[in-house]
Order: sequence, then C-alpha cells, then structure tokens
Amino acid sequence: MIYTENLSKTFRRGREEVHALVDLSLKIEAGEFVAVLGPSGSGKSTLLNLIGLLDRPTSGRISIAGKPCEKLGTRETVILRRNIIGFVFQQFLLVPTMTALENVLLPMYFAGVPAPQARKRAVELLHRVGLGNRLSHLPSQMSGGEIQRVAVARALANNPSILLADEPTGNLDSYTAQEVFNLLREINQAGTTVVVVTHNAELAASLPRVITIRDGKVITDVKKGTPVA
Amino acid sequence: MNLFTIVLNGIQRRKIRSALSVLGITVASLALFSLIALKEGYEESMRSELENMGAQIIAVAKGCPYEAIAIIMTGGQAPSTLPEDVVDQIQKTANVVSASPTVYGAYKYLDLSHPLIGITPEERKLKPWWKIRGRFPENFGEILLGSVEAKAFADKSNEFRNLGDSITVTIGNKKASLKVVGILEPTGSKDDYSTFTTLQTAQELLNLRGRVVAVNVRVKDISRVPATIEAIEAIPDVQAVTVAQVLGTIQNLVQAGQNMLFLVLVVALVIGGLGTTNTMLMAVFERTREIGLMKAVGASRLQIFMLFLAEGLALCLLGALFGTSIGSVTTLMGNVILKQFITVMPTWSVSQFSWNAAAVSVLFPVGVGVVSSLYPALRAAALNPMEALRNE
Repeated sequence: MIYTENLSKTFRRGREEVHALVDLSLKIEAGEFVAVLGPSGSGKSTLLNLIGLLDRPTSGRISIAGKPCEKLGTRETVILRRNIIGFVFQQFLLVPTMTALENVLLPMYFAGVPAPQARKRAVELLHRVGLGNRLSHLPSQMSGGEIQRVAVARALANNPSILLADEPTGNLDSYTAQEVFNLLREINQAGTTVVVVTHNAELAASLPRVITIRDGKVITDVKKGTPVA
Repeated sequence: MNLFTIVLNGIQRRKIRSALSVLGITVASLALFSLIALKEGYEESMRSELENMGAQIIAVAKGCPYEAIAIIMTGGQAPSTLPEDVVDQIQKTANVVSASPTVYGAYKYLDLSHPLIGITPEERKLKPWWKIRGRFPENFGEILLGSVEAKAFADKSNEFRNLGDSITVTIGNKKASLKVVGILEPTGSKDDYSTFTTLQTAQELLNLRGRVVAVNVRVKDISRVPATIEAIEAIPDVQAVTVAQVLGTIQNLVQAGQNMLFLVLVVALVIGGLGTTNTMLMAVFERTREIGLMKAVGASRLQIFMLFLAEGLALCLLGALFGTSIGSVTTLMGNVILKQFITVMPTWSVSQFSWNAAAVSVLFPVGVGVVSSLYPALRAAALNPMEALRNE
C-alpha cells in the first residue's frame, strides 16, 4: 500500500542544510495500523507529508497504492490526495466559519460528489464518530476532542484507503486521546490503512506495529512481538 | 455545499471589510449609471424638443446661432435681433412653405419668471398638432397659455380662473395686463410651459418694435435644405442653421463634458477595483492555513483559484447591483421631484431609466471584479499546501 525506497528530504534553513529524512525505506501493507514514533525534529512529520503527497522528496522513490509518485503531475497528485488519502492534523484544522457538517462536506465538494449524496455521507460519518448531535455546531462551540473527531470524519469523507494522522492527540488530554485512538482503531478494523505519527509512546505501544524514527532514519520497526529490523 | 455557499461563507466572515469593498463599487456603479442615463435622457429630450419646434431651418441674426437657439430653447432674452422685413424675404425664398417670425422674452408672475413667445398664425402651420381650448391670440394683450402654466396659474393666483380672465404681470419694470383667450392642450413639449401672444404684443412689451428674434422655416422639399439655407443667408445679417446642425453641435458640447466625467468614473472604478484586490489579498493571507487544508483534502489549484475569483467577483457584482438599483430608483424619483418644483422647465425628463446605462453600470464593475481578483486568486492557487498548513 505504501512503499518507500531510499527516501531523502533535505531542507534549507538559512545557510544550514537540514537532513529531515535520510535514505529511509519502508513498506506498509494494506490494512495495517502503524504508529510512527519519534521525538520532535526526528523527521516523522516530513515522512507523513511525503506519503500524503503534500511535499516532494529530494531523492528516493515513493509509491502509494501501487502508483509511483515521485514524478506525478499536479493533476494526478490532486486526484490521489483526494481519493486515496485522508489527513488528520495535529492543530485541530477545521475551517472556523463552517459548521461540523460543512467541514466534512468540503472534501466531497472538491471531489465533485453530488450534493444530496455528500450530505447523506457527511451525516453518516458524523454519527459514526459520535457527533450526530453536533452537525450544525461551529468549531468554536465544540471541545478539542469533538473537533478532532470532526477532522477524522472529514478525512474519511471520500472513503480513502489510507488515513494519515499527524499527532492527532497532541493537544488532547489522555482520556480524549484514548478515545480518538479507539476511533482510529475502529476505522482500521473497517479496512483502512492507518498511519499515526505520535510522540506518545504509551499509546503507540498498543498498536500492532511501531516504527521508531530518529534523525531521519528508522531505528526500530516492531511488529507485535517480533522485531523486524 | 456549493461554490455559492463557500463564497458566502468567505464574505460573511469579514462583514465590515466586505461591505466597504461593496460600497466602493456601488458608488462607482451608481455614478456610471447616472451619467449614462443623464446623457441619454438629455439627448433624447433635445431631439424631441427640436422636433417639436416643427421647423427644419431656423433663421437668426448673425452671431453665434447656437447661443441664440440655446436661449430660445431655454427661455430668455436673445442677444441680437433681425428687422421684421426679413420675414417677407425669407417667405419668398424658393422651397419655403412657411416662415414664422418669433420674439422670445420673459415676464414675471407670482414671483417666477415665465417664457413669453410672440408668434403669428403662421406658427400654427409648423405645429399642426396644437389643440387649443378657446382661441388663438388675435388682439393686443391676448395670450395663449401652455397647459402646465394654465394649471399652475389657476392653482396659485386668485385672478385667473377661466378663459377670459386677465393676469397682471411684470416685464422689466413695467406692469401689463394680459387676457387669457386660449389654453393649449398638453403637447409633451416645452410649449406646455410657455405663454404665447401676438407678435405685436411681444414686440411692444419686450421693447423690440419692428424686430424679430428668429424665423422658423418649414420647407417643401427636405432634400433641398442646403440650397435653401444658402438662399436665406443671402439676405443681409441673416444666418440660418438646420435643426439637425443645432442638435449635432449641442451633442458635441455635451459629449466633450461627458468624456471628462467618464474618465473620472474610470478612475473611480479603478480605485474600487484596487479596494477589491486589497480585500481579497488580505483574505488570502488570513486564510493561508485554510487554503493549505483545502488542498490537503483534495482541492485542485483551479478549484482554489475559482473560489477566490468568485468571491471577488461576488463583491463587485453586489456593488454593481446596488449601484444600478439605487441609480434606477433615484433617476425615476428625480424626474418626479424636479417636475414638482420647477415649473418653468423644459419638458426634458432630465434622466430616465435606460437599459444601456444599466448594462454598462453592471458589466463594467463585474469586469473590474474579475481583473482585481485575478492576482489574489492566482496567489491562493499557487500556495504550496505544506507551507500553507505550517503558516501560523
């Protein structure tokens, strides 16, 4: 499902060159639930952005759902991003002036889903994440946990095969964080490949596979019980 | 959710700023509408006014004929006059059907100035559509009142009620008693606002004995107008112009002024457009993270571009619709109000609703809207999603 080979990403910060990722290779199969663990600055978010096609690697190869992506055109990138990938961000990113329902509708609007159908699915998704009674609430009228669940519902709008979550619990208390993780687990059990970037080792430990990254390299890759690398 | 609701959402979040942008365009659009409506109304009324003169050629004393005619049309004392005997000479000119001598002046009554026009029965040949209640003035001191004047006098004075009553008027510093022997049925021209009397009466009261201000000429064959003018101008001191020429000259004068005004309006629109650009650019900066988010959830560059273009366009369209609506209502009301307050006014409906004006005052601002949102929309579309998301 997700495949990278010798993936490198180098940023320029002023005169300094920052090697965010160095020759990183990994393989994530369809239906896996993976935690990418690492301290801040380890390159884990960069990895997620590359997999999510929000950014391009400096060198190396990446393929998503069997499609080599490093040379994709803008148009194809948009289509992959729209249909294959769902994103959940750390900073509770909702459009502040749109209701929960409208925020979930947004990806379907861009994908050109007919309005009645989109509405039906958005309502379904919000019910599924436990927000059936919050459809017309604005982000300012909801708690952090609720906002993050709206974000999860939005990520699922176009029925993606991969859900990428960048520190989805970073700004939540431990109880709410656990709830969001449970939600992600449910989604994974329904067949979606889920990759979660986190620095919460405790939560990560409960997942079937944990990849630890430091200085742009994979340090350990543990599948429940058996170390792989 | 559709383009419309997303755009509305964007406009609503900064109500005051959006309102100010709309207001700027509204003012420019309103000015544009008024100018064009005024120009059209003015041209239209000039044309109908001149057609209602019933003459094809107007002969006046040498000088500036346009000035003389402008004074004739608006009422007032003509700067120079012709001896009365030229009327016979013009009448005898080949192709002339009728030559109607006229004297123009004004009198004061009820504290207002009213145009006084001295004519002979010859004038009726030029205006076969006149319908008179009572009769045409024949004797010294008799007058024929235009319909609007007759109504105003009957309402405001206590000496005039019916045909046969006299009114006491002031001309210069003399007083005179004028007997109303006829009332003109409404004509829809400035005749409704005029007082007609015999040529002799007007000459006497206006101190123009033996003189005429203009001779209105009607010809048999319209294609021979140039030759006729030449023949008339052979008479010493006489200058002749066609009604068409007068119209053309007045239009040119008006046009020159309007070109200037139009230039000012273009500047106003450009300023309005820059206001829109500024508003939209601010919106792009403020919503950088949202744009990144939209791209992350699958928006294409074109979709982002369209969102912001549509928002800028919506601001300008709103302004254009407001401006044009306000313009339409005020020009219609303006006519009513002007007619209420100004009795001695040419029948010119000063401005009137015009589809041309409406089209220009909507489409121009809309064009400005597209042009002014182009840059902000391109900027939004070009944002890198990851960098946009990182923007705080």
